[in-house]
Amino acid sequence: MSDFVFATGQYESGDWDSAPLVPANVIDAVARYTSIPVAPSGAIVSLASSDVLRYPLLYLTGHLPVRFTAGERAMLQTYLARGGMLFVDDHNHDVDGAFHTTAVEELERTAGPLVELPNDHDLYSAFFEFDGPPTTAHELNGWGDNLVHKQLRAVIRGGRIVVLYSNKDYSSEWSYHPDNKRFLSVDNTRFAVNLVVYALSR
Amino acid sequence: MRAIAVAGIATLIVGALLPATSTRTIGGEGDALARALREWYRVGLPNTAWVEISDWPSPPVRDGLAAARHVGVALSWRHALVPFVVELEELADPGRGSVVRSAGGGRLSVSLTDGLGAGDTIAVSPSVTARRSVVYGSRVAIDIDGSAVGEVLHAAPVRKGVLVLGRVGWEAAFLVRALEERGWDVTARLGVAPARYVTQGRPAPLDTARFDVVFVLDATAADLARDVDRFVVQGGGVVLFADAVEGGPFLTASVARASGDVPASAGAFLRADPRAALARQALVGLERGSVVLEELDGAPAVVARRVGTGRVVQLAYRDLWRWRMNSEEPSGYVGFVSDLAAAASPRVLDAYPVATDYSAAPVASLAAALGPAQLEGPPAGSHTPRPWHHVVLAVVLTGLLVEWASRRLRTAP
Repeated sequence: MSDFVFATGQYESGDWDSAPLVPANVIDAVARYTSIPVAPSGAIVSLASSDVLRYPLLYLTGHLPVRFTAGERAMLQTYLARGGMLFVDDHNHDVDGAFHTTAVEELERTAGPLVELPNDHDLYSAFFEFDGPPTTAHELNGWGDNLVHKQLRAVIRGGRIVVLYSNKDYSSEWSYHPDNKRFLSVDNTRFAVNLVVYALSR
Repeated sequence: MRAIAVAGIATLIVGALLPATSTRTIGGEGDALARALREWYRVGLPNTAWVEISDWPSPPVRDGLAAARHVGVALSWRHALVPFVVELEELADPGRGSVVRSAGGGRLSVSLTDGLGAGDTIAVSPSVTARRSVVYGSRVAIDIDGSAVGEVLHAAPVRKGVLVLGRVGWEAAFLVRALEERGWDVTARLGVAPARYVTQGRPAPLDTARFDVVFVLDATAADLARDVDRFVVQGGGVVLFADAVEGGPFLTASVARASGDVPASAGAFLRADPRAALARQALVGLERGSVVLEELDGAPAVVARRVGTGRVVQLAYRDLWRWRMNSEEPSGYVGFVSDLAAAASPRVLDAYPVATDYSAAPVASLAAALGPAQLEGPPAGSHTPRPWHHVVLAVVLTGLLVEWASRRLRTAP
């Protein structure tokens, strides 16, 4: 059985590579807490390429406006229809930020309406138990819009999340070297484990 | 007295010459039989009846004739129908519908209408034909050449659940989704950490009362290896994926050993044989009595065998989920995994509902209701003596006896 590979989606319009440390940190969390065979390094794959079909979970982030090309949109639609899942996180933590506004628009155009995910959804108990989406340090320190966003949003098909959208800035929250987890009283990448376990079991 | 006796003899002769008004012949095309039956029940049932059947009678007509026979009408019949039989068998795979089998002495057009009102038409020929139709509900109406002739009860198997055992991963996620998409009731126990599982439904106990089939994806279910062995010996079905055979715990149930890997063919997902694009094990040393269900490039790819009263199906393919993600026709993957479940599923024949309606074989159902058909036509001149004949005869004989006695008395010295 092949290892789980954490894949980052590369798109043309913005800074898709704004959080290069996130993949390693997520991989570390999955390997640390579960027995899921996980590849030690992640993959980067172009959204317009059929290579995305090798990675049924894709991570997208950025600071700048997002506009999918026709090829990226078509491939994403195929990807989602065949069983893929997209996790998109706003690296800005803004309500009216450029990434947030454009990304929501593009995601809804590609996959359908984003609805608020209830805080008792299976995602929040897939491995660790959460009362809802964990609050990030950037939500609490007044950065960006100075708001704590109480819910994530999702496109749901057949009872399953196919697109998960966050404007809580997990990309900043998880952007550090995994070795530095030892300085944290609570590992803040635990929610990433829930995300991966959910994707691999639904 | 002589006059009375003569009158009685004349009456008997006339009565013998007249046709028996209590014997009726009915038959004809279209709804002639139904109309005749209605007339019977309106004016009174005959004592005897001859029935000519040239068109397919509906079950109410058949049952009306049978009821008349039951209350004492001496009923004889013959027919000009072509015998045939239609059988439906519901397949184990919930998404595959039913197989319709038919056999007949001539060429007929049989229409099936199920609970949804949707129909299918099959041509019955002198040889046995089999055709797959998707029908819904447990009763299917049969129409032959435009006439409604009855219903067939589904020989529906009792379906239980499917259990998926393995680790959390793409193989498990895609498999569970595909089986559910196809209508299987899926329970799962997926390992995510030592002694920790993600479950769907209630995976325990593992027994044939709850599950038809167990999919074993890898060795994470090694703690249940003995339960799986017992399950299959007792009649359950097991589907072993490639990773389950490596490492040992499920070798008792396995069909073949794995010996190395066979590389995939690049680009095959887009061709007619998408499974050629999957990496697979080289299967060797097939157990005695095994069958090869699928070959690829001359090598076994899906094999099966009986273990006790159950079945084991073993795959050589690895990462079957890649087929779903890479194929333009995802239904191929869904159908394939559902076929695996169906191939391993036990068919419990004694759980089939007993069909008491013989309309699946209409001529046979008529014979069951009316008695054997006659080969010849109605016997010429046959009739049933009228009950009053006996009275008239007694009067005549009495009159003759009295006449004779009177003569003797008059001539006695």
